[in-house]
This record gives sequence, C-alpha cells and structure tokens, in this order.
Amino acid sequence: MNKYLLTFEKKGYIKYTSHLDMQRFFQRIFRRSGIKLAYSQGFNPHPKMSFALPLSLGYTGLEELLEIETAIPYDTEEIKAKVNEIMPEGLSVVGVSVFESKKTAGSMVNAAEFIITIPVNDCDKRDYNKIGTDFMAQSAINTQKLQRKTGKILDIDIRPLIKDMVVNVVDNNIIIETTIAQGSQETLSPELLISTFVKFAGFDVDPVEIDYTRKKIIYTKPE
Amino acid sequence: MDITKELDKLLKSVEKPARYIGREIGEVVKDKEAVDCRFAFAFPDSYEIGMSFMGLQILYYVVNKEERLSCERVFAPGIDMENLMREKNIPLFTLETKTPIGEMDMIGFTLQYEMSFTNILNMLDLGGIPILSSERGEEYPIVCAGGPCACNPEPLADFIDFFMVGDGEELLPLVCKKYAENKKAGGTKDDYLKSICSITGIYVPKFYDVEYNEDGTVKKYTKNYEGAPDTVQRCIISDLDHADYPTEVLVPLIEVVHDRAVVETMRGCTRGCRFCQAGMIYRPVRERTAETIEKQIYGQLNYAGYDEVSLLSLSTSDYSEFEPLINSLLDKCKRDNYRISLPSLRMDNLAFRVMEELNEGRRAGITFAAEAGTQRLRDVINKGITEDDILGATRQAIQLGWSTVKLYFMMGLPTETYEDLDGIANLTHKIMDTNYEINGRKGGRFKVNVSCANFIPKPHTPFQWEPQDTRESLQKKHVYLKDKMKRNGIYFNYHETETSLLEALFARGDRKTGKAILEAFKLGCKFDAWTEYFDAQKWNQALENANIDLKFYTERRRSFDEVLPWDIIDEGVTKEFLIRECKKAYAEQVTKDCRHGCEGCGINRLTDCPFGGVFANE
Repeated sequence: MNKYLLTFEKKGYIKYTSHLDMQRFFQRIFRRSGIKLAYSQGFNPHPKMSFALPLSLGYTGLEELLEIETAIPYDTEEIKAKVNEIMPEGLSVVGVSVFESKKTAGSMVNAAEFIITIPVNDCDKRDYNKIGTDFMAQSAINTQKLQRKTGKILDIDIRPLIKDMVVNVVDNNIIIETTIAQGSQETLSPELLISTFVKFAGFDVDPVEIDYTRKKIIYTKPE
Repeated sequence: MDITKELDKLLKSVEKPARYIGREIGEVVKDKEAVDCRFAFAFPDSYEIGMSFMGLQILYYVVNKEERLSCERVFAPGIDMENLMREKNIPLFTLETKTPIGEMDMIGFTLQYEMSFTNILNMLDLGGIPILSSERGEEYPIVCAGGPCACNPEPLADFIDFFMVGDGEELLPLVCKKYAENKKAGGTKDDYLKSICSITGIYVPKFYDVEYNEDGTVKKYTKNYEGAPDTVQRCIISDLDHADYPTEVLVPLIEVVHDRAVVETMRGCTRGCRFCQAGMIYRPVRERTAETIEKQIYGQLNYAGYDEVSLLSLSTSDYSEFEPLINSLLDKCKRDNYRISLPSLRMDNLAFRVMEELNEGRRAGITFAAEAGTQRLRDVINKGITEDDILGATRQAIQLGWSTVKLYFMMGLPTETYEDLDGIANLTHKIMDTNYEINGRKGGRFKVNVSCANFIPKPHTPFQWEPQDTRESLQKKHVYLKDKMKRNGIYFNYHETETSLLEALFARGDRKTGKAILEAFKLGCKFDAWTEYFDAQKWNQALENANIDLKFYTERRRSFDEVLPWDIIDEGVTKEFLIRECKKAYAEQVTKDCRHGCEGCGINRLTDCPFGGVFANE
C-alpha cells in the first residue's frame, strides 16, 4: 500500500471554501497533477483520500493533514512538487511523508493548536495575560453548548478539553494561543472557547472581527 | 479604494463566501499598471449560474490572452451580501483584484435572458455607477453588453453605451484594444464610440433617434451621426474550427450548476424550427473538426482535473462527425475515468447504443422536446418530430429498463386550440400505457415528467409578428391541462405566467420599455428569474409607473410592414424569409432541414454557408 500524509497550508481568500469544496478540489488537483490515486472498489469508485480533521469555513490552517493512497509508489518530493506546481494562491503542500498505518490519521487526532486574534479597543488597558491565567486557573469552566442533532442546550465543563491557553495583547489585538481537544474522541469548538472566555473577561466582540488560525493538528504517530 | 479589510468581515457573515473571492484554478490576475484596458465581464446573475456559462470561459480567455488587456469577473452578489455591502458602503468589486467596478475601464454585461435585466441596473448601482448612459460622465467606465438578447437591444438602450451583436471571440478583444488606443490619444467617450460604431456587430444606440407613430408603434430610426451604419450586421466567425477556445479554463472552487469540461462541437442549427430564436440568430452552421474537439476535451480535462465532459451545440446528433467522435470518446472515457454528457441528443439507434454504454438511460432516462401535442401544430412550428418517433423510442427505452421519460412542450403557440392541448395529454397517457403494456399491471417505478413552457414570440423568428397568448387564456389552459394529467406516474409542471408575459414584453420591447426596467429596479426587483425573488406585484406597479401597456407589446399582432424596434439589427436571415416562413406556418407547411436544400434564409449575404444543401442529392 502506498500511503502518504500531506501537510498543507490554507490561507488568504481561499480559507472561505468549505470542507466539501476542498474534497472536490483536491480530487481535481490529483487528477491534474498526474499523481494516480488508488480508487475504492465497487459500483461507485471514489479516490482514496481523506482529511484528518475538517477545517471550518473561514479558518486559516497552517499544517492541515491529508491522507492519500496512490495506485503506484511515488517519491514524497515528487508528490509535493507536482501538486504545488498547480496549486492556486493560498494553498500549498509544506511536507509529504510516507504513512504506513492500519489506522487512519483522522482516527489518531486528539488535539489541535490554535491562534485566535480578537481586536480590542485602544483605551482597554486591562491585563489580558492575567485574565487568561485566571480563566485557566478555574477548576471547572461551565458553559452551554447547542447540540445540533437535538437542538437542546447542554451544560458542559470545557476545562478538561483545554490543554493549555496563553493570552497576550499585541498592537490592540488579543492573541490567544491554545491547545484544545479535537478529533473523534472529544472535541472543543474554538468558537465556544472564545465566547466563554469573552464572557469571563467581560467584554463584547462581533464574531466577524475574530480570526481563527489552526496552527497544528496533534495526533499520536503510528509506532 | 482598498476594500479588502472590510471585505474580510463581510465574508465571515455571508452564505457561500467563496462566490466573492476568486482564486480558482485558471484565474488570471494582472497588474493594473501593466495593462492598457481593464475589462470587467459582468454576469447579471449568481456566481453559480455565471460560472456554468461557456461564453464566459471563451471571452475571459480571448481578452486575457492579450498581454496588454485584462478581463476580470463580476457577478450579482447574493441578497445577503448585497445588503451588507450597501450597509458598509462597499462597492461592487471584481473577483480578481477586488477593484470597485467603477474604477474599471469597461464593464460588459452578458444578456442571456430578459429576466436578468434588473440585475444589470442593480449591479451598476451597487458599483456606484449612474444607471443611465446619459448621466455617466468621462469619469465612469464604458458600459457595454452582448449575448443573445442583444438581438433586440432597445429595452436596454438607455443604460448601455454600446452593444455587441453576434460572435464575441474576435469582437471583444478588438473593442478593448480600440479603447486603449482612444485612451492613449486622449479621446473622450464619444470619440471612442465613434471610432467603433462602424465595426461589424457594434450598435451604439445614442447615434440613432427614434420617432414613434401616434399609436405607439415605431415610425422610423434616424441616424444622428453619419458614421454610424444604417443597420448593424451581426458579427460572424466564419471558421469555428480555428476560433479560440480555452484549455486553461476557470475551475470553480465551489459547486456550480454545470461543473464540467465543455466543448462546443458546432454553432448554429439547420432545422429551422419557427419558434426558435437560437436557430435563426446563430446561422449558419459552423463545425469544429472531431480532431479539434478531442484535443479541446483532453486539454480541458488535463488542465482542470474534471471527471465529466459535455458536448455542447443546439443539436448534438446533427454534428456531421458525431458517430466517429462519440465512438472514439466511448473507447477512451473508461480508460481515462471520465463521464460524457450529451444534451439534446436525437433518439435514434446510435443514441440508444451510446446511452446504454454510458449507462445514461438508466440514470437520466430520455427526453423529447416535442414542443406541441399534435402533428398539425408541430407542422405549424416546423418541429420535425412525429408521434411515432416518440412512441417508438419510448418503447425501446422501456424495454431497456429505463424508467424516466421527459417531455417538453410549449403552450400558447400560434393557431393552438384545445385539441392541441388534448394532444399533449394523449401522448403522455400513451407513453404511460406503453409502460403498463411492457412492464405489466404494476408498471414498476416508471414516470413521465411533462414540462410546459409558455410560448414567447421572439424577434428575428418567423413568429416575431405574432401575439402572445393572454394571461387569462394561459392560466385557463394550465388548469385545463393539469386536470388531464392526474395519473400516478405523471409529473406535470408549467411555467409561471407573469414571468412569461414580462419576458415577452422585453423580448420585443422598444426603447420606451426601458423605463419599466428602471422603475422595477427602483421598486427593488432583482433576480427576477428566481421564483423565490420574483415579485409580480412590484412589476405591475413598475409598468404602471412607466406608463407601459403590457398588452400593446405582448398581445398585439404586428403587420408585416410595421417598423420593428429590432429592424436596426441584421442577424443575417432576411425579413422576406421570415415572412415566407410565417405564411407557411399558417398553411401548415413544413420547411425541410436546409442541409437537404437551401431555403434561402439570406445568411449567405453575410458569410459562407458551409452546410446549406450538403445532403441535397441524398
């Protein structure tokens, strides 16, 4: 089996494409590049290709992961070069590695690092670094989330889902660097984290002012 | 004006933000300082519809191919985006460089259907550009338009500086270059319009004054600039095989209506259906060679990574090299993993074999554009298909296990009676009966989709003098037919009457009707082709405000000697031919496919007609 793990970057305007758009896009990119993907068997064959963790529409991703299986073996540098040659502005492959694993990369993801930027008012001179420390010092962080399937609002404690979180202010922007649970086991939406933090810090912000960047996806590497 | 920072916030709040970002494969972004003319190709509907349009791909390519010209794109933004743009004062911008359209040199709208006209006005307004040509000073872009609806440009004459009539592959780059020349020479807009108005296919409305008779009909057109032509001849590309066609197509990032490689096998049609405008205004038939077509297909598939290709023309099966082409493609499509889509295929033996091989029959079923319910009426409209053709082919399809039949009809055709409507119902029921006969009493999951459009008399066709059926009559006919279609497995739908009336108004409207478009825009009409946005009440108000009597334009029979607003445009077919065809329609006489003998339509006055009479001796 010729399995590879591609690390790619998604930034600029192209971040406004959805996960589904990216699936179709990468299928086309591979057809174009001449890298032959392996196809599933059956009545409606589809190329073997999957993203380790979907990236929300509007988020920048610096090290996103795409797992592929090819029909014939390729040199990892060849894959990178052929794909990058035809990528549009904003998307590029930063690394390719051989990925010999029975489990999918997606199933091994457990967390992700985010950088979140929130603009603050000029005259707001509060110590957000300390507010961040206080936020994290709580033994439980109770908040509410909407369960999409049922439409019910659930009470949850998100503290266990936050691995770490540091808050700083740079040029009138609050910069939050955090590692939170992501993946199929347990997951925390960065938006829920931010809305909870903003409430804790006691200020208001229009959600469209906030920038989300997923810096890195963390997964248990195969043995 | 740099709008990018504000734009970022908007993109986070709207539906499908990727409509507004560009960045597709195939996008061409040029430095504005390095070009002499910046042209904005404007599609007056959503991104998803505009990006499915082959003409955009061609024109984008032919302009950008020129080093010193640039073509950028702009579409009608969704209502949510428009509201935010107006609230935040962000002008309509191009996708490539996010330039407000008011800063472009030229804006060119494509006129694909009448119901997109209010979007044109709305887009200009969103760009901060005065809507009326007469109110746009030198500081604003030149606004031009082209496409099938330019064959009667008059309803838009007050808004558009010049129209391009006919094939655009060579014409558009030419007028852009002329723009650059004029700019370099320090010329005004008027200088520019004067410099292009004698080019074949260019119509500058302001160079013509219109006088009307007391009854509201056109009295005459008078030139007010002597350099303008007496009539504007359509621009015709005589050699389609060597006409530019892009390999490096734009590949949308989001799902659009048609998301596949497209190759135009031929332009024009020889069948001569009397209601069909495309069949008249794209004459003569010009073909690409099978070799060129295959090269273009593979060029696009390899460039775009598409897994589907569509062969486009007015009548796929009439392409003279169809059989060798499709055989060659059938061999290759399995090997190379792509699907073939064949719209408007005539259901002969070859078609059945092709569809079986492509597994298309089972997936999509078969489609017939019967257009009318009786042989008499089909003879009137010169639609060369018989009930035996349809029933024979459906029988074959049902025997192959295909389970969907689609039928297209028109309602309100000239000379139509209720007997013709009964014919529609009878044919549909006969197809249902055929299925029961073959598949037994339960009949399986078989269905017949019947779609009824309202006939709209179009300019430059033999029916251009005909009255349209009245609102009341159409509504009565819809109810009548609907009642006859009540049977399990028959799905009957028909077009909205109000929309058809307005389409008919603007299809044959004169300059005065432009005021109704302006009034409708002012009342907030937009996306009128979308049933969810179309507002009949507002439109009726707009007609009243503009003092336009709908019936004068839709229900009035014009005489053959009336001066028609679109007489200023010479599409190639002569009025004598259209009159002859109209008289033959009333005599229920058919005119044969002109490959079997020239019918003298007059197109050979303007260009060579390579297929006229080619089968005359068979």
